[in-house]
Amino acid sequence: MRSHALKAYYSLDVFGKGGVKSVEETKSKSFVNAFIRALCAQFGGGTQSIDEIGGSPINYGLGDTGFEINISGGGGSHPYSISSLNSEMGIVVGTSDQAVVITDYALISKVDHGNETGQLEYFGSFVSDLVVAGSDASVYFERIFRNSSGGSIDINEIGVYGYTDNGTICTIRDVLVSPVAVADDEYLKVKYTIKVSA
Amino acid sequence: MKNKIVGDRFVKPLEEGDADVLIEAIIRDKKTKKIVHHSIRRCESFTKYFMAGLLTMMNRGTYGVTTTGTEAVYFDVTTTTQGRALVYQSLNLFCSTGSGATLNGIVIGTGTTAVTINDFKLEAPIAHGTGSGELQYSAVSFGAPVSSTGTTYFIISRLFTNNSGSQIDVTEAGLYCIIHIASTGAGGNQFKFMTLHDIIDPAFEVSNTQELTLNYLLRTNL
Repeated sequence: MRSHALKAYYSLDVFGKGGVKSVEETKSKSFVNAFIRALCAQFGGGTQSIDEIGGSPINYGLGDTGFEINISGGGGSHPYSISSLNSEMGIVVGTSDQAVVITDYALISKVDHGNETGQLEYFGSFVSDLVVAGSDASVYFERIFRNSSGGSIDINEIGVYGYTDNGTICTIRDVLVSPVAVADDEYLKVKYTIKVSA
Repeated sequence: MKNKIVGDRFVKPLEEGDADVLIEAIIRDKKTKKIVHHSIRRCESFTKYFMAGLLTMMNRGTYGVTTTGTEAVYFDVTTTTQGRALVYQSLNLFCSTGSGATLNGIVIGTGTTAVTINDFKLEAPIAHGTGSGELQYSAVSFGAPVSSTGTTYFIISRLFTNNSGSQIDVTEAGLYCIIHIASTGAGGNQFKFMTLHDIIDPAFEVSNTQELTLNYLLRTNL
């Protein structure tokens, strides 16, 4: 079926002692405001005012960084390396089930990086090559989180943060159909795929 | 089929959360400015090069293109093979350009072959000019992003004027954008690729002295 659109999909896997719990590939519903505004600037539409994840407007113009989501930086391989800076870039997770609106500029209640109560350790992001198969062209990116907090954490929202020269912007936000529990000592993997079809 | 006003009846509701592109076509008489055609349709196809440009925005790395089982190369809009790797630079999908430029921005042609994900240029581009079969390309312009309840969009526009002396039937349209690739050659590593491609059926029939305006509306909504 021809899509005539840019579509995003997500999936989640929780790896624990009891096996793997999965949320199968689900249609993402939420490219948000910053995504289109950043595209406008990159197409040549001039500098745009975009709310960064703190809610303050930043200028985003031609020549500024796109909206980088690769934690490790640079090309080639993208190792899963833990960094305290990771939770401000790439795939992020949170606990709020508040409905998405087009003007969302951040997750409502993002889980911070760390191993204290309510925190997850953010590993690095992986970004795929461009994959062309049949009439589809797609890219995917994924991230692993480890729960070393000592308690279970329910994930209700996920999203994609992009780093720019002037601040970090939220390009996608989704609220999960059902919360995904990540128990202590379990690992969570979140994957986004963006696809177009001819 | 004759030109006629069709409004927006061809625009199907957007699936929740998608980002898509609408193409609005307006044909006016140059002297009277009377509108003789107005239509809005969903863009038929992003190409793989749109995803390539998006990828460079999301990661300042270097990437190749992978097809099923084999490595592919890129072809720019001049049909020049430009190597295997994309590279991040400051221009990703840039399509602003001045009048007369036919290798960047919104472009039109007379091809009729169905689009594919690998399309890298129009099948039969219409040249800039006033000669037979030619249209005059104005500069590309932009409408600032607009956010309203449940949607954000912006518009890329271009005007084409027919002073060729005869009617021209426009049957394809595309959007050429700049993407950087790793291989360097003449002109550095900045090349143009087609990121959107549509076959227009029925054709936009642009009579002599008429003006065709194409508006590309990029949007997302909830």
